[in-house]
Amino acid sequence: MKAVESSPRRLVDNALQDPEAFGEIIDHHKSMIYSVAYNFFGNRTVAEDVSQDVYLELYKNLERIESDLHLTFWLRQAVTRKCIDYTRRLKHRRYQPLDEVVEPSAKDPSWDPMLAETLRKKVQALPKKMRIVVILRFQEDLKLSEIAEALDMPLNTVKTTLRRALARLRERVEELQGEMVYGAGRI
Amino acid sequence: MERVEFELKEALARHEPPADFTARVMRQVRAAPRPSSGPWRWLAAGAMAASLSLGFFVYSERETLADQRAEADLILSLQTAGVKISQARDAVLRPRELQP
Repeated sequence: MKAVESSPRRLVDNALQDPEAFGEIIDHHKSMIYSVAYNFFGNRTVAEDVSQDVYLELYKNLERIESDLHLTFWLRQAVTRKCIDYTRRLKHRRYQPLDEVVEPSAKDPSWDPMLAETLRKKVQALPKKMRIVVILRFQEDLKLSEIAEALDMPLNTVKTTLRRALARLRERVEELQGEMVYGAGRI
Repeated sequence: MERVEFELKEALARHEPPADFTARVMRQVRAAPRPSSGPWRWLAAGAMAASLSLGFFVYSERETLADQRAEADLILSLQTAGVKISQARDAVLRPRELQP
């Protein structure tokens, strides 16, 4: 936490002096915020709504931000909280659960878009706490201790939650791999 | 790293919001009230604390006055009751004293 307090506060100070500079904060973090919400809901409209709400809340609380590092921490906490709150709000509203867009990844030639799509859907079907732990771990590449801090959860609870989530997801991956092997064998 | 973890990293990659996202948020930010700056916030907090203290002082003064008034009323009532009891006793005893 010391590192959080001692790091510079350039982005925040600029935005406090000139509200137009708030755009710089948005640009700096929008990919993280939007992706957490998108991977949580699988819906672009909802992800945008959640992200906008997070930024508006930040604007109202800008004075409380102690450093640019604290800003990242604050935003991560705010978006996870908002995602969980939104699930309650969306309970009675029907929304398209997943945008059927498969985005190609240039990173790895062995990447299987069908498996990725199925995994995304499977992640979005997890209970909300489990879902957010998985997203913070694999989208944001956070350490378990950082996830515990962001979600205000004991470290052991995070470990157990992640282990259970992976067990559920592993079943699906193995099922799919089995189907692929079986399918290939038939051909 | 297990296969499922590797696949999750790929599946949960970051996404970019629409190109006009920042502009849309900024429109909402411009419409929102500006966050209050430090000195003004402290001044407002000070003013609120002062008005609360003043309010408490006035309230306790009024309470004290009311207590004093109630005490005086009670003493007066007790005195009046004492006088009336004496008068009643006199009224009851006097005819007996007058008897031969």
